[in-house]
Amino acid sequence: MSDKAQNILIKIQNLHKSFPLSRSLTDFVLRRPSKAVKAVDGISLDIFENETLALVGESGCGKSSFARTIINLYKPDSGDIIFKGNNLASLDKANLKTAKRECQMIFQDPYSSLNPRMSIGDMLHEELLYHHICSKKEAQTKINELLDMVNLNKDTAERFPSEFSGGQRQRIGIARALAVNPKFLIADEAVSALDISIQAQILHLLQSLQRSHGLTILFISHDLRVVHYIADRVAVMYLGKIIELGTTDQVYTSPLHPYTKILLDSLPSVDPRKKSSVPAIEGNLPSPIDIPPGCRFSTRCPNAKPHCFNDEPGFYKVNDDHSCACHEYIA
Amino acid sequence: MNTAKDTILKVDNLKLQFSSNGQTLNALNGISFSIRRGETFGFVGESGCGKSTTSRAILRLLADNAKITDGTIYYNETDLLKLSEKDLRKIRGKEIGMIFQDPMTALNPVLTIRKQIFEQLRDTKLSSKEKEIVAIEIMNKVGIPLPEKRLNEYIFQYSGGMRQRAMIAITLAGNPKLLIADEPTTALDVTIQDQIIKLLNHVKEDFGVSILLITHDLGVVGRMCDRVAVMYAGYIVEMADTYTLFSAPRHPYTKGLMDALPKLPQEQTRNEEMKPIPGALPSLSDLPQGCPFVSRCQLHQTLCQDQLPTMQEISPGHFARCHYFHKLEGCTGLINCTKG
Ligand SMILES: Nc1ncnc2c1ncn2[C@@H]1O[C@H](COP(=O)(O)OP(=O)(O)OP(=O)(O)O)[C@@H](O)[C@H]1O
Ligand SMILES: Nc1ncnc2c1ncn2[C@@H]1O[C@H](COP(=O)(O)OP(=O)(O)OP(=O)(O)O)[C@@H](O)[C@H]1O
Ligand SMILES: [Mg+2]
Ligand SMILES: [Mg+2]
Repeated sequence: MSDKAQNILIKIQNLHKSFPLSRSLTDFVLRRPSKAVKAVDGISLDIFENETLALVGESGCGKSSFARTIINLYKPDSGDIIFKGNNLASLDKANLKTAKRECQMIFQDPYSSLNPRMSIGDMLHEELLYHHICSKKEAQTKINELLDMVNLNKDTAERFPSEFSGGQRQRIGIARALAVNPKFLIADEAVSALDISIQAQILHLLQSLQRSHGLTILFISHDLRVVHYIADRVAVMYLGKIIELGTTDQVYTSPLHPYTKILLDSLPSVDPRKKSSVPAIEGNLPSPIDIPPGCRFSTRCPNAKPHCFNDEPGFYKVNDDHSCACHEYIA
Repeated sequence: MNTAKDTILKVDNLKLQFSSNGQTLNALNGISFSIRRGETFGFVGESGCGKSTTSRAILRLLADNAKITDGTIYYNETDLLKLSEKDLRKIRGKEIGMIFQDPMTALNPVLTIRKQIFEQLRDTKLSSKEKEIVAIEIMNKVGIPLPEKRLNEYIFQYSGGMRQRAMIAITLAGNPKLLIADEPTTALDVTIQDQIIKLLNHVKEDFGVSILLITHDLGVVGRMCDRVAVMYAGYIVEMADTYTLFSAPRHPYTKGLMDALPKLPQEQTRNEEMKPIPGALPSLSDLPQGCPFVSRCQLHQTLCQDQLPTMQEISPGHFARCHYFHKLEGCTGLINCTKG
């Protein structure tokens, strides 16, 4: 990190996004309050230029919703997203188009994000021309380059999304996002369906784009091995909030939050002789519909004290670049 | 052909082609393996090598442009490839259940999750109250919080990992005897992955369900599989019990795959770098006449260019498809087995 300039590329301020649950007629008649899934429940975060920031956290904690809200695919309930000094909500049409090109996302679910009626060559062609990345003449060469980059044969360009394997579709999503020379890339579980060898190739590709094009990456992954390998900083999310943020070294070697500690302890070994179970987190996963009062981790925390069930902790800076939302670290 | 009593599934010399844009893609080139009753059999291999196609062929849930050109698939005494569509429907879901790799396309977008679980329970004599209890219990088992509420929702309202778990819940509700699980944990974090692995191991050990597990996660293979097959370009290139494969890989592709795994701070023994295997899978429309791995193999000689190696049994139960497997003697994979 130290060798990278610390200019803020994206500033996220107190972002909220919730999804209302459908109400039944009985709910209405009985005047039960309407409920909502609080997917993003107040996130503030600075993402620096040219860094890889990893976002990790339990399934369903709100990572994809957060990502989609950052790039305006979901309208935030409240909060601001400042990209290169400008509030995304107040851009005019032309600037919005540029911002849209500059912020790309590799979607967790590649198939639903691809048009089933378009061959992948045509799809890439359209992207390239729409964003004026290259001329019509150069497009074919560029498409071949892109396919090669993600390790697909160039004779696959004529095929339709349904004619690919799961991991190949994921790589098509990667090629599409990279086609338009983004500045900021959100990779939502972008290598989760790939075998280790191809994972390594894609990660090397991202690293080299970072060096050559100054790419900034928000890397969402549940694979703590891969995160350790690629990230400069790590943000840990729990039930809609970021509860720990630090450099990769800090988070992996001296985690602060009890949740992060448990997460790192539960890393599986690859040795088949150690079938013994990893220590899972105690207690039931609370729901983002009813977020516990006080500290949101209190219901499962091994060190919870009485006040943890009542007071929500702030986000305390414990060391340089290392912060955590736990009462234990109150300054 | 009869299958041995302890075998639940036997696939023999399965060949399958896709036709696409006037090209013929040789996706499966003579796949043979069998799964014993109560065993978990794993499939690993490079993205695009044919794992999902093999599993879809078993239930004949193939794309329109796919054609099985050779081979047999026996489920117990039944040749699945000869079965009528009507009889096959009796097998799907109840005898052989499948957790698909892509829940978004496999699940019904306009039915609530509850309806889809109930659908699996239609032939049981349960009352709707009991079905509700079963549905809630099974959603709890896959770790979906507040199931009473969440059963009312549709698949698009779920997160990636929740979709995968809903897929698992719906498949398990059918109570299959053979479970095909295609990358069931790719979208899951370690703690929930752990819960799912325990659930599947429990289903296997306590209900005698056999499992065909497709995964690229070698950690999951280690915790679940009794035996493993490694696939490459539509061929099985190595097959052994998990311990043998992890400690003594004898195909250069398997070895390369294991070398690519990055290490964690607490693992001093692993390599620092993630080393991809250089090169790419050959085009399925233009497979080399010799070994499919030849262009990427460090051991290759002229023989490899000319002649497809056969599967050789190099020690009891350990097969490899390599002319020069003995050059890997002494090589260890993910685990060091000097202690034996
Ligand atoms: N379109 C939607 N409508 C309703 N609820 C939604 C929608 N999208 C997400 N949710 C809910 O918001 C919560 C957070 O979902 P999100 O997809 O952000 O999780 P995630 O952290 O990406 O999880 P995963 O690791 O499983 O992908 C979940 O409870 C999910 O069901
Ligand atoms: N309908 C189709 N038409 C043409 N080719 C296809 C079709 N379906 C799959 N293929 C090709 O067949 C090969 C095997 O695909 P399959 O889905 O079985 O791979 P896989 O091993 O499951 O890979 P992954 O790990 O990426 O899911 C791939 O190279 C794919 O491109
Ligand atoms: Mg997600
Ligand atoms: Mg597949």
